[in-house]
Amino acid sequence: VKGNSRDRWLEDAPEPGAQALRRALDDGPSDEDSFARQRIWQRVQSPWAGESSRRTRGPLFAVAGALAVCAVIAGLAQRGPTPVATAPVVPAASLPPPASIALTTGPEEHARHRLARGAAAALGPRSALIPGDETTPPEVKVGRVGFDVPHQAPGRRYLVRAGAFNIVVIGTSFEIAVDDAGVGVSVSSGVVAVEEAGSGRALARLSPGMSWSSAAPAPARVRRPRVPRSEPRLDPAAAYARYQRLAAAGGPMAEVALYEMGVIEAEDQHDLPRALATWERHRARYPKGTLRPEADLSIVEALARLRRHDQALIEARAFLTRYPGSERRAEVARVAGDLLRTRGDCRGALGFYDLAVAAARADAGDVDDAAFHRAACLATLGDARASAAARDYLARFPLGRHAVDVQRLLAGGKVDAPAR
Amino acid sequence: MLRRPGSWPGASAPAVELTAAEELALVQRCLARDASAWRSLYDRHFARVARLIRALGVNEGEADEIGQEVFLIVYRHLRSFRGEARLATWIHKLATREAIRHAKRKRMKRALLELFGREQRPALPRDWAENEAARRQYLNQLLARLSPERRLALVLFEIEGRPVEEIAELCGCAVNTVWTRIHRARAQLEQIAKEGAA
Repeated sequence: VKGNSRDRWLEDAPEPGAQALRRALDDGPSDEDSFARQRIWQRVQSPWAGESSRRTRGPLFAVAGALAVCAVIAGLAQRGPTPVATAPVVPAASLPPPASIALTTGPEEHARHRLARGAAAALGPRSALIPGDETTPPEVKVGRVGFDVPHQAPGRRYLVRAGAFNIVVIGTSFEIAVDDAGVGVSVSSGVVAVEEAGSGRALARLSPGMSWSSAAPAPARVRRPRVPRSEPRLDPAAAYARYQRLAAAGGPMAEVALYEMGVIEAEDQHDLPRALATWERHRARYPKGTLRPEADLSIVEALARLRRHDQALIEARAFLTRYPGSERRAEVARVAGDLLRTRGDCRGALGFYDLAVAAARADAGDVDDAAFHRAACLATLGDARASAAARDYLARFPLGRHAVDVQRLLAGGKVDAPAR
Repeated sequence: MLRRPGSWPGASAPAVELTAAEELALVQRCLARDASAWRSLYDRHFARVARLIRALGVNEGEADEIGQEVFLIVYRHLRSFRGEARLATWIHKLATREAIRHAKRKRMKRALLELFGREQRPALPRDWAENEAARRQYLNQLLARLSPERRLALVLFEIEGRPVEEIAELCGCAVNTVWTRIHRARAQLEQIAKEGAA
């Protein structure tokens, strides 16, 4: 227990209820809901708007709420699941309802979202999910999506749509895959029923460990090899054992399995050195593999998290040289810049920040950070270009996350680059 | 690889810490309707305000409304911010007051339901060991039995890991009161958890 108690409350409690409570507390705060951040921002972004006429506040917020929806869509369509920057303002009439906004991931992205009715969804790479709401069920459009669904109130079914099928759950963890081969469902815990969406005809009833797949093709765009149905986030131990067998057996799945072993070692077993060794083994065994860029990127990340900054920098430089068209280029360049800056090498960091700012395809958050630190580094070095860099930042990100600090910079205040 | 915000060094660059004078200047700019200043204030404080609201068991449907209300209250009261406390503390106090007010209304409704015997004991989900969402739901059912003050103290202490001194400042009470609330909340939860599992 934090604070001045030395024992962790309920740690040795024998009752399952108390053990579950301890585990739930250890799960920590739930993930920040970036969509809520955007939604609420749209409602409060002009708090002075109601000052002139209080009567207009209600309708005004109704429109602003609708604008929030648009902000999320724009962010998703262009950058995947972590919209950060400001929202464009578009006519509310052109907005789709919130339940129909697609949550998507890029080629190398994973994302986790909270859904209505207490459920959580973990999207694998190249996946799309229509989240639904209290009354409309979520729908997996493509890719692999894992679900954690709490037990529903008596008489309430939790349903997920996938292609021409409904997956009906009561309270469980399961994964749905939609690709060229059709729809697949695998269950980690609880019981799931699969039925035809149109007729409601029951097709299968699945218990933990069971899988089902349709013969009918479903809409799909993913060409990546089919990954085993064990979702690491839901059942890491079982998934790891399966990946080990697949990696040892060779064949087309071995490359994916070896890479995913590293993911589980890093994210679930919290054993970064082991994950690093696995990914290094991966790229030694598959130097031209389809997941080679992902393995390289994971190695940069692992080295940075292990504070092996020199090696992380070498790997980051190699990544930037090897993959000039990568959509993660800005991210890697920004991280390399941060690594140098935290060592006090502002001059060296500048080159990387320049790369990040100039990247053609980039997450706005990375460019925002890189542009700010570029200006801050120039100021630290006493470079005459600092003011221009600061003005460039404000022109590009007038409501950016560092806008206030850049304004201080321009006003002559010293802006120290934040320590890591 | 599964990426979590902030897992890379600098992935979510922390905002530069403002001095008290700079916070006052930021507030003045907000009052002058400077949109970028207001955005900066919102970005700096949203995450903790949102967690505070969730800590008090506000459901997702209502959380947006309360979040909105909190930031509008913050704006309406900005003129009274004198810089005597840190801006974060001042905002979180306002948020706490608003969230507790809401939680008390909600608790009254729940008490009425209990009176008519329509609410079930929190049942331990069978798949609690592997299903995080099920565990969260179970935890929320247990926490719903606590008074807002006890719940806030327990969540901030046990889940958020905040020091009791900070919790005391947020709640506007003595440190010993916070300890009492935490201990009583623990005893109450332990009892319910044992009964639910029986």
